[in-house]
Amino acid sequence: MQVLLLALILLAVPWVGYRYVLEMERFLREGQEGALSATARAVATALHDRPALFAASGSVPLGATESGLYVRALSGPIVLDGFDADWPAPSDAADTPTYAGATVSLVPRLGKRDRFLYVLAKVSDEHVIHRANAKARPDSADRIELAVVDPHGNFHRYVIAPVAAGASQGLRVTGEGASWDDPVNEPRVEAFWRETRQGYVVELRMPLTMIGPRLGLLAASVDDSERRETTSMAGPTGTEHAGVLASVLIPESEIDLALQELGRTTTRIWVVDREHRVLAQSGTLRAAADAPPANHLETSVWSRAWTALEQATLRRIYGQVFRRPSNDFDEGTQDPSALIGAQVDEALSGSSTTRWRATADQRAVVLSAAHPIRAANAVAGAVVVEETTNAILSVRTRALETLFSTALVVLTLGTLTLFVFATRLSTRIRRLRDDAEEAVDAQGRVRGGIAASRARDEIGDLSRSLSTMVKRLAEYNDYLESMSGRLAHEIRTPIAVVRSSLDNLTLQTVPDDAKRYMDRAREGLARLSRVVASMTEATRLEQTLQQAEAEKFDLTAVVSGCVSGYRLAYGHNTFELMVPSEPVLISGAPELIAQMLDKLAANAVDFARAETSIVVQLELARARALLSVSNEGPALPENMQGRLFDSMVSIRPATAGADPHLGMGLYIVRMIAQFHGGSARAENRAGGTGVVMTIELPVILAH
Amino acid sequence: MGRKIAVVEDEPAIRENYADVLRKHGYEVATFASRPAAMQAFRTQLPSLAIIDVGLGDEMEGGFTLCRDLRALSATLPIIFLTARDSDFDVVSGLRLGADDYLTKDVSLPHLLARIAALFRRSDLAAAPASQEEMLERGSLQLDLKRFSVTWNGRLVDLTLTEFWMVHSLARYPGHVKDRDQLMRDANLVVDDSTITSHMKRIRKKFLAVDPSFDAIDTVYGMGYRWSSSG
Repeated sequence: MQVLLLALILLAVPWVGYRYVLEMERFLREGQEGALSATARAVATALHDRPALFAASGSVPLGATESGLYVRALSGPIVLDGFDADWPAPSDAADTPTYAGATVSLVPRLGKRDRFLYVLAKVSDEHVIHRANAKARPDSADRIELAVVDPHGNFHRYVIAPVAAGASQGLRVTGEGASWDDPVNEPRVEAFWRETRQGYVVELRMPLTMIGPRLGLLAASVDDSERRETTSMAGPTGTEHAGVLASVLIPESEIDLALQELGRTTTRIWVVDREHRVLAQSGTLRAAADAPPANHLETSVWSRAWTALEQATLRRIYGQVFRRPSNDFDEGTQDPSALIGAQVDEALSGSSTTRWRATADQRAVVLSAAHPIRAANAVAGAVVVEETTNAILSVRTRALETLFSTALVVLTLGTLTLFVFATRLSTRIRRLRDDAEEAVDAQGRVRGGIAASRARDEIGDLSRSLSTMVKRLAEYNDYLESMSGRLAHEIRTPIAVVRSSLDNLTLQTVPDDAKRYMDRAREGLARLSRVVASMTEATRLEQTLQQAEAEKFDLTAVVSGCVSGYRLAYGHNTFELMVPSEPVLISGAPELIAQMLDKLAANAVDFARAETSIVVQLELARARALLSVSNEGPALPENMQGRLFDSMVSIRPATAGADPHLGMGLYIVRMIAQFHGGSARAENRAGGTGVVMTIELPVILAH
Repeated sequence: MGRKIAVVEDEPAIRENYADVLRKHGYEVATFASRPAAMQAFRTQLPSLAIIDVGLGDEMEGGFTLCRDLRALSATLPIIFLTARDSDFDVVSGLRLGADDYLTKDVSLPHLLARIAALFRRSDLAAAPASQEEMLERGSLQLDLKRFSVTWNGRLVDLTLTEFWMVHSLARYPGHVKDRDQLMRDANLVVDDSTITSHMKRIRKKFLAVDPSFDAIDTVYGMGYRWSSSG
């Protein structure tokens, strides 16, 4: 669990990274503003001090009622077919004003492309009446009239009045040799007349070279095919003479050219004149659809695999969290005829500014920088440069994505590593603990050793220390346990000395007094001998066990035989015997089992109340034989039950004159039980009436 | 009786005590404290019987070496081993050094004297022609009570004096159970029960070496041992 806390600290890293990315974004935005301002200034500078550009492009002020005809640039090719599908959609109502007369109304649109002026005139007329024939006067039918002042200043008037719907050419009715009665074909003016439900649509074009500063346009309607009189007209201007014509505003191709060189994709540049009218515009805010994706140079398999993985999984998550720059936003007015905005006003008043705004559909943020264009020490117009923040946004998003992907990977790896490391550590420690518990049994005897680890870290050190400690304890235990054997061995020699001396003394004539003392000395020596014998009994047994050979024998027979012997040997207690009827086969040394049972019986007799019976029972339980010797008498103290089988432990009160009890009997019992693969335990009888010693031995299952 | 007994024992009190009691019983005694001293004397003149302590001074198994060397000098000389540890018995018998008996140092002197008398009797009879024979036969078992030799199915079984007395005690009344006390008395020993057990084990092993199907000695648990006459 502490590992998890540690891992949480690692989360600080991606958070710091996130803050950093946001800071960088701020810097980038400021940079973008600066760059955009610089671009605006550069464009303005390129257009500085060229008053001709601004003058030529209709710096003639518009009248009070707006009667300037704005000729916008057309982006795509126009087919003269009477359909407006190939015309760009009008972006505002001002672009397509409706001029209504008594019986006719006109919605004109003008555009230029490839050195041609295009006109799309939608006319609503209930009665569409064509000219009767090619010889008829043009003003005897429904018609479109177009009047221009050409670049040389001459006034010309053209009429579109075909005999029938379809393609036709314009008729010049003014100038040399032309009149209403005798119009001259003007093949340069091409038109297409299409009938509609409301009236008709005329789509025409004429070369720009025919057009000068003034232009006029109207639709005239004849409603009576008999009388053929013009009943009404509709249009932005009249067409009788140059004075009634409107000034024409053709976005200057020179400026366009300049902008093309200065502009970039995803940057939109406007050039407006003092009256906010757009003189030129280039670029779009949206990125080109076929921009090649970055990172095409990554060819390594890993990067590609990683990218694929990222796409499948992480991108989806990120898409929810991070704002993605969308290329699908409303650019706003694609071709407004006038640009209004606070920054434009400020630029036209002489200062350069920048402004942030959201697009109409809130899908993108647009930064615009405006700079005044000066000519002849006055502000002649302004440059407005616009760019979305999408580039920065995608950089930011990409950076954040990369940051979080990396952080995720690093965090996962880090946590995994930490986890693995911690698990390994705790597993090693747990294993060491298990080893330590196994090494020493419940009674404190050293059962086994601890394998010393060869690792060079602290846990390895601990393991080695524990191993050494256990080894030393085992050695000390061995030393203690063998002390009695060694002591006994040392005592034997002096005993031999005393005995042989006493024996010699017996052969001599001694007074009766001396005999008495010699007898007592001999008795003492005999006791001493017995003490030594019981001290060494355990050691001798160990040696016997080492050399003992196992044989198969019937435990029942041994137990029964021994109990018969006890009945003879111990007169004060009765022995009850309970054995199974079938033989119980075990593998081991029968004389050792007898020795063990002798010890248990002697113990039971010593503690049993006089005239009570001692129960010896052998029963078979699963694959174990349970041999128990039970006597009535004092109960065992609670805390001694496990320790009785240790060497030199005795709970008998010392009785004077009797043989000292060294407590080896039960120790030997346990040794013999363990030799046979079993165990020994001592318990109080239920009710505290006595003690039961139980030996558990594995049985050879006879088949 | 003019018999010379050599006592090789490094503990002076025991050595002198043994020498005293033997002299009192009419034997000549030569005492030695170390193996080299004893060997030197033996080369000059052999004793009639030797009592050797296994652990002699610095040499842990000096007694074994001495026994082997002495045996090399005489094949019939009676040798009695004394040892402080009865765990040495198995070692000693395994080494097949040819000693006639092994005893622990805390053997009582009367018992020691009984053995010495028996061994002298035997060696006297070995020299004399085999005119009188006192044999005890029980099935495949043949006990020569004078020579203290045992044959089983005609093959000699190499028993020590103590072991011979035990087998004789059992085989004298086949089918009768002899408890440990009786066996000890007949074998002139005072030892504890487990020593008796290991003696019986060794006896069985020696018979088994001669006849793998030997099972004439029955252990009656809780009672003692008996010679089964069907064997």
